[in-house]
Amino acid sequence: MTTPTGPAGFADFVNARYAALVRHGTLLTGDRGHGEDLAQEALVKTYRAWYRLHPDGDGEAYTRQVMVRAAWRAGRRLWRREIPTGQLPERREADPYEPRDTARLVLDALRALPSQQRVVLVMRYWAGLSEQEIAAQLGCSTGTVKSRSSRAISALRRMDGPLARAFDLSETSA
Amino acid sequence: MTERIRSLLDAAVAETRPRAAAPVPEVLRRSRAARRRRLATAGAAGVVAVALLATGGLVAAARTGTTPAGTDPSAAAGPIPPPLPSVRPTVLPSPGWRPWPKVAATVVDGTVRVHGLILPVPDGWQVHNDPPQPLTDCQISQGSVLINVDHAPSGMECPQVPAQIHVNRWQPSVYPPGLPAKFHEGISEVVLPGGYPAWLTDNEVNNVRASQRYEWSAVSQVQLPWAGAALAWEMSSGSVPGFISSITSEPVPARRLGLPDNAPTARLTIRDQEQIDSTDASSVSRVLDRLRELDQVVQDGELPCASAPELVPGWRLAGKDMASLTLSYPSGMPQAVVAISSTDDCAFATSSLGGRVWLPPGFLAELRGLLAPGAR
Repeated sequence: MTTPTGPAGFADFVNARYAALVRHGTLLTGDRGHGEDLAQEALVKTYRAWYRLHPDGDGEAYTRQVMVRAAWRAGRRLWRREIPTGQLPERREADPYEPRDTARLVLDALRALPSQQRVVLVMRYWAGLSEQEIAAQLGCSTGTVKSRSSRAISALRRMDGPLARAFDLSETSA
Repeated sequence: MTERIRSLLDAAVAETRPRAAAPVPEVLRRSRAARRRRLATAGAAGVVAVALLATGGLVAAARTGTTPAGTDPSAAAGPIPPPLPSVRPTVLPSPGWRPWPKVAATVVDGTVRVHGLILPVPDGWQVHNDPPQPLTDCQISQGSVLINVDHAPSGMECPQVPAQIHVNRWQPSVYPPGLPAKFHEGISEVVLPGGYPAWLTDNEVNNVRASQRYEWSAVSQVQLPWAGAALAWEMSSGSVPGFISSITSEPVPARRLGLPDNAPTARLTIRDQEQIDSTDASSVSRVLDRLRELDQVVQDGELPCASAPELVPGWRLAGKDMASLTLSYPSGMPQAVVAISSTDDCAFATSSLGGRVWLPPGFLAELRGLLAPGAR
């Protein structure tokens, strides 16, 4: 039977997992709006593939895979135009009376990274994938994964903030 | 401390709430919009295809695949039509306009034939050639070969998707001037028995491969440039090897690359690299001359090379991650596409206008140098 919510199981899947996918998209893009956009575009592809994915396939894994590849490709299209700056622009002095907003600081830091570095960082430290697993998912070499990850951490350190301090702590405690 | 980093990232999105309160209708709306864009693009290409055929038959002669060996390959491309007005691919002339051109297919002795392409109709399947109205999955019977059917095989309208094969017109992608550079994923080529190339994007390579992981196979577009046709299918994965192995072509005489006599613009796209657009007439002319000089014709049976990987049982990839050189009018409407495999052990080029040749070492870099001096 045709329904306005698509094929059987699709609406239930989207309603159950949408918020989690948007959170994943937010980390991959560093922006809530773009993250939701990325999640929806990926769900369009999942929708087209639903008869392959339901009920035996893993719709969520498929959608997340589409998301990371799209975010990675976006970086591949644009990264050549990104010109690294030797010095970061001056930042506003911290207001001691401003509530500490970890979420904003972390998202600001993610957004400041080139797309590919951000994608690798999220896959490595949030999704907990190995460099080999990331390379396999993105269709690139482990060397590329390592270099993007390394550059991301270097860039975060230059920015300071909670993520940079966490990486510093990680290094000194290793 | 990796856990600390993860907790920070978790915290960054802990309060993130989707803006869409009802995401499903939004996803369906986006899907419909994407489909409309695809149809509009195909429609614009169709206008030009009809114009081309009406004004000189640029591609018809080349696509018959019957050019005798030894004839001048450039002659097979036919006369150059007069310049065409710019066509914007997203604008349809009228709401009732049928948006895409049709493929000239005939059904003979249980086979669908399109400009030398031979597609046997699977046992028990029915052929529906050019029905007057668009069809939904609900209106398609199980086991249908659908020719010129106004329908995308998404299989979303009905819960039970019938097994179906679509045969439609293929035209090279339209690249209107002024669009931003896009990443190019490369072309993969399968050589069908008989010699015709089948081109697949990375996405379609994945779709074909998926038949080995899932019970149902859905492939959106296999490009068959020498037939001017595109195939799509949805069927049980178990049927795929037999189906794809049955696709053949009439024997194609080995010949040099079919090319337009001239082209005002060229676009070279290489995987992982920024595309190169050239509107310099002398540069494009030198590229065309260089392509015409290639005389080491690929003979029957030489492809795929020994190193070619199997895509699925029945198909091996003769070329993978191939670059593409699109030769176009100033409007962005393509005249021809040349797919270029530049691997060390299997470097060859195939033109959408017919012909396949071996390439000398460094040929792709040479083209880059001609189109964009300093880009080598």
